[in-house]
Amino acid sequence: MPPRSQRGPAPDSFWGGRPRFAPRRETRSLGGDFTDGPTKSGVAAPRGHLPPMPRGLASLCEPWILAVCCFACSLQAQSPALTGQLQFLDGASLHGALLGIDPHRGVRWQHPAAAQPIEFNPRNLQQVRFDRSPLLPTNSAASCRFVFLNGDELLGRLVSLDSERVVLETWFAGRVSAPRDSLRSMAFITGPHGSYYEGPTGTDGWKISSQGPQFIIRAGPEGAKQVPAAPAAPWRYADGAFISEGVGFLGRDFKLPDQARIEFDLAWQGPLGLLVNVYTDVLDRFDYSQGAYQINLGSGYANLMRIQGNAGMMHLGMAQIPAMTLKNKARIELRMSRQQNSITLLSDGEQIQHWRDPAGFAGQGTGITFYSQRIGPGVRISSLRVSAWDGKSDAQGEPHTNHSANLVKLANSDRVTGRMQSVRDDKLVIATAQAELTIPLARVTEIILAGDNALRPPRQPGSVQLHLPTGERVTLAAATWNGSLAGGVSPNFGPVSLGAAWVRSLEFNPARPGNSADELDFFGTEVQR
Amino acid sequence: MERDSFRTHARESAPGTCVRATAIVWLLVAAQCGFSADATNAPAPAPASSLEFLDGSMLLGALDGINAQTGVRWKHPGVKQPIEFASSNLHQVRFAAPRQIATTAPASCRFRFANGDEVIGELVSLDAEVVVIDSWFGGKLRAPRKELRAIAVNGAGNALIYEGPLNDGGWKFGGSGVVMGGVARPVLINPAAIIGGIVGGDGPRPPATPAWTFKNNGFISTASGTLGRDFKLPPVARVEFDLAWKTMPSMRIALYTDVIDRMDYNAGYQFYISSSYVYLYRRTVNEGGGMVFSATENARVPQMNNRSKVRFEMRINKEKETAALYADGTHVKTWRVSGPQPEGTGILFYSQRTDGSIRVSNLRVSAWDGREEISTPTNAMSETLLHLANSDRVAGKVNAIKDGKVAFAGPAGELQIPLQRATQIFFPSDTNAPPANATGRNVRASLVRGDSVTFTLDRWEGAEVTGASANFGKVTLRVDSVKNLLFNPESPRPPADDLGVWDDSPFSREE
Repeated sequence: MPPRSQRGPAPDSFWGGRPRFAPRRETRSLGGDFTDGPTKSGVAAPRGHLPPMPRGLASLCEPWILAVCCFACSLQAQSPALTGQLQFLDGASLHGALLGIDPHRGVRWQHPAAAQPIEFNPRNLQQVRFDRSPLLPTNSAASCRFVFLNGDELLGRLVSLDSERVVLETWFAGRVSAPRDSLRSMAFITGPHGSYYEGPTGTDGWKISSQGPQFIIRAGPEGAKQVPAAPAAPWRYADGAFISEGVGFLGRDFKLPDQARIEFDLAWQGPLGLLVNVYTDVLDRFDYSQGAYQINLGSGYANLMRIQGNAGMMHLGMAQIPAMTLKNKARIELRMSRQQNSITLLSDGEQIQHWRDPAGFAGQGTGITFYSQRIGPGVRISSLRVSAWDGKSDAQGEPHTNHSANLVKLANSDRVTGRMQSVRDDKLVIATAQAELTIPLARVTEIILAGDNALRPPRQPGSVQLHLPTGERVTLAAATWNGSLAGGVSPNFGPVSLGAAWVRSLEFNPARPGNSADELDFFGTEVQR
Repeated sequence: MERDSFRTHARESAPGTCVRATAIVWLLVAAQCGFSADATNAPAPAPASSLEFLDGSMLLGALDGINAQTGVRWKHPGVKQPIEFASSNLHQVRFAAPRQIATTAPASCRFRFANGDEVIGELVSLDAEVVVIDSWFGGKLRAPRKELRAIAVNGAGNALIYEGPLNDGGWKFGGSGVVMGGVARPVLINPAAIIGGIVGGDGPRPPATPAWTFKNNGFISTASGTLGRDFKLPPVARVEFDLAWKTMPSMRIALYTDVIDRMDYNAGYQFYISSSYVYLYRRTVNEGGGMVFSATENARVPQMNNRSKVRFEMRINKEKETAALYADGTHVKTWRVSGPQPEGTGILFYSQRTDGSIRVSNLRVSAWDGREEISTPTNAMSETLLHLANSDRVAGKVNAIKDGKVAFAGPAGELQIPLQRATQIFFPSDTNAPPANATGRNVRASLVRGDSVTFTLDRWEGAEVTGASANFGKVTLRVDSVKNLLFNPESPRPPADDLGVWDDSPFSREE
């Protein structure tokens, strides 16, 4: 490597967020123009370094073919590296840009202060979170959510299923097939679905308003005394998260549908005190003139309040969340259904409480607000996702189901247990203990092929899980990334590639708990294990 | 290999014959239980250092070197070759394992300079132009007198007793574990039956889970239990530590206790921390056999309501019957504790919660000379201000300091004042004159004994770091004397974010 003095100026800092990397120009010369006159073969010889081509191959050098190839290559070459944050299992994180991933070199990352790209062993990585919001698919005709045993989730259309394989139509990879034994469940979507929001990526579209006190208590040499509170916005944005710095509101109108899922990563220090108002139109203050719901999250508990227009608040119930007392972060999920008058709270994937409002669904607005009750740094909200919900719960609590007995849930709430023979031409054939039944697919709401006790297949080293904006997850072994395309081998579908623009984040090693630094090997080992 | 610093020898003497046989028995027992005597006493692997950037990035690893051409070279466990970073975007390097420097160099004074440098050492001489300091890290240092802002003269009794923890050796664990030799071990019903490798009787019970565990240079409690150690505390002492928590702490810290393996509510001074309040208890028995409680007033530490970490400092002066509490360097309260003084010399931490998690780290125990710090004047001064040990103070001019005497020109003429009678000397400052700063990119090295030196770094290789200081000229430091290296000290720092990182990283960002 040449000395620093000969390398030119170091790249600027990334504060400001605008990607500043020049794309790698891997242009290939196809030779000069074809103006040297015909060769002995009769084909115009290109000027430059290439030898004359055989007649057969020369036919491939038609201008339109070359134009298509050039365009395809330019797509690869001109895609700027996506900026974001690389997070490690040991808690470290590095801003920068993802240059590439391949099985032999690991993850190539560029940081503004680094002299050259850094190649990280993915074994010690947690995820890559991109600064920008991913593209949302607009032409998805998905009618089914497929959940696989390895944790993959896809939205698509069920084409067929037999004793060996399931065939589905996806929006990003077309028609794919997977071994039937890799599938855990299929839930048929009957209402609106898809993401309404993924972020945050900045403060655009958000309302931030202070409700803090004018004075605070501070310890001093002569005891605690009252001092003026420092004026500041109660919420600030940094690195894909909103961080509370005072008492105040953070609100946004998401145009919530009648059935919605609201998920976010929540981190806190000290006692937790966060109010989440949902289905509200008032984004910058407390207003009890309009119906909404309020979830009061504290250290190890949650309270659900119904805001009744001009009638105050009514306590609908409380739930204990003991796991939250042993840590200071959790993934919170709310599932709201106007049709079912229900509110369901989950923490880290576990259902905490399901409430049903006996007075009907109170929410009259379409927005969400977060209200921090604490002075000073209190909570951080990140990885927020708002999506439509089909009103169905996940396939939990079906431990009796295994591969030899499948469970089919019907629209009239009936359940059928047996061995599914096939799904074809919109008809499901299932062999029960009594008889073989043929059920129109339109009457089926969910098919569970494997219960909670099904073995999760081991993840191959070097696997990466792609998180897509629709909540879909695709695991790829021997994963590659070149800035415009993500590719690899899906253990379910085989070789897969999709545009990098669709990817919300990349997750490495999801099954591994965070390591402390002293548990990590130092360099000297192979790149891939 | 790092070891806890300790005033007396920490290593046990070689066992005699009977003890040796017992040791063999326990080795066989440990083997049966899958324990290894070496493993239980082996120090934990050194945690990684951290490299922090101005953009908020952070990497764990180890510093490989620094020079002007390649910048900072950082070794990361996930990268084959050291990574080179330009220093212009760096915030700091924090070295995880505190260095222990064996030195007998006296340190009777602390010197503060206009650019923020602080040096602990001996004042050799001071005249109109130059101050000469005998420092433990750089030998004799010469600095322009005009850059000197203050001298704090330490009393004779400020010796460091302990700084750690670097491992769990020497500590006693109580609560849910069985305390033997400082580590929770399995309980054996019939150890005699183990001799010869035959397990008899009821056999060993599964090892109990200690309430406190050592990790990343700190002790973490996830259950109710005690953690104690006999530090041979002198009658006047300071105890400082970082306390971090996930749910509001409920714990007691007993100082001058003679019971270090369980909670004894009658032993020592007991600080009771509950949410953001701190109480001090001293319980004694009066002549009638009843309990007498001293010093039950509480103190409030409001920052505990919206943070997850506070640095506490307790200063005990048994001679004056006072106990003072500091939080994050700010005095919170001083209690007067009259009556019989505790006879013990140990410290005990007792976590009372069974559902939370608290962490104690960066513990520092030292003797204390009983002197309180005096706040540095914030206004520009035209005269030197000399504070004396009898609480007097005089304004005037220091003509010179030599051979332990201060030639002070005051209203009554020139006096020769023994330096040991002074507590602090504040020199006049010209707020219009900028402090001396070396040209080029500065770094500020914080050293293990509390010094800090700003200089232009030339090279960090092997065992030495060299550079040029505006105050002291050429600087050569031992690498293992540096606990923190701050880059670009004039640049604004990224806002600290401790949210959600405590259980993932050994570090939380300092505010």
